[in-house]
Amino acid sequence: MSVIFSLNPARGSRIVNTLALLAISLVLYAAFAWQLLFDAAPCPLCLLQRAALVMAGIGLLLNIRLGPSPLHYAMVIAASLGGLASAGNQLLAQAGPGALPGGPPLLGMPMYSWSFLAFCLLLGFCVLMLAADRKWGDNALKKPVAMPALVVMALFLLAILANVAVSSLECGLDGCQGDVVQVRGQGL
Amino acid sequence: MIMMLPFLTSALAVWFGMLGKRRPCFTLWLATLLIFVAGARLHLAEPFVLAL
Repeated sequence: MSVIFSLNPARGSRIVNTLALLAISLVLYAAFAWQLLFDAAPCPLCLLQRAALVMAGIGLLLNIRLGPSPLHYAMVIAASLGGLASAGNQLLAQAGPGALPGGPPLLGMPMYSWSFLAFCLLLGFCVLMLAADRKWGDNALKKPVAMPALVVMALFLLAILANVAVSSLECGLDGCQGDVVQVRGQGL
Repeated sequence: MIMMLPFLTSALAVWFGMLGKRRPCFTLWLATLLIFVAGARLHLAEPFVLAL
């Protein structure tokens, strides 16, 4: 009963979700910095992976704002599966003979491998959190949000807006299909 | 254009999410997912050249 009438329910779980959303935002900024650093235009599959990461982040953001819910975790899982398909496709394409060169590696691994790993981690995160958060059920009542969580949500929104700008500036109307090398590019 | 759309709809979804409005947020998330699937059908349909 103390759970239901708590003033700040699922506080611990929402802090963990805030940290996960911060990690996603940092990955989006890192991919952005990587792209600027190596002057690599985003390939369609990289943008798909970024979009999947953003969709997963929206589920986490709802967990922070409205409290943990199976629906929000389902959103993260669906997005992660989409991201896995995209990153896995890029992994398999690079494994085949005559593969186009990928982007520069990060710590010895190409970016699409990191991306694949990130989506696996997100799936694992959801498995753990769904097991831990099962007592909260589902409701759409707004919860009080602390300033750090608000900053993380704003950072996430900024990362998405940066991607809107980059994808519309660099891809234009042709869907990033102009340069064949970039079609199987860096990943993420 | 199609590569910019998912980020645009998801930015709107995040905005509604930050306001605590789940229904519009989820609807926009669903729209993003549909655009993602459309993009995936376009770019993930290429056959692999794998030697197993």
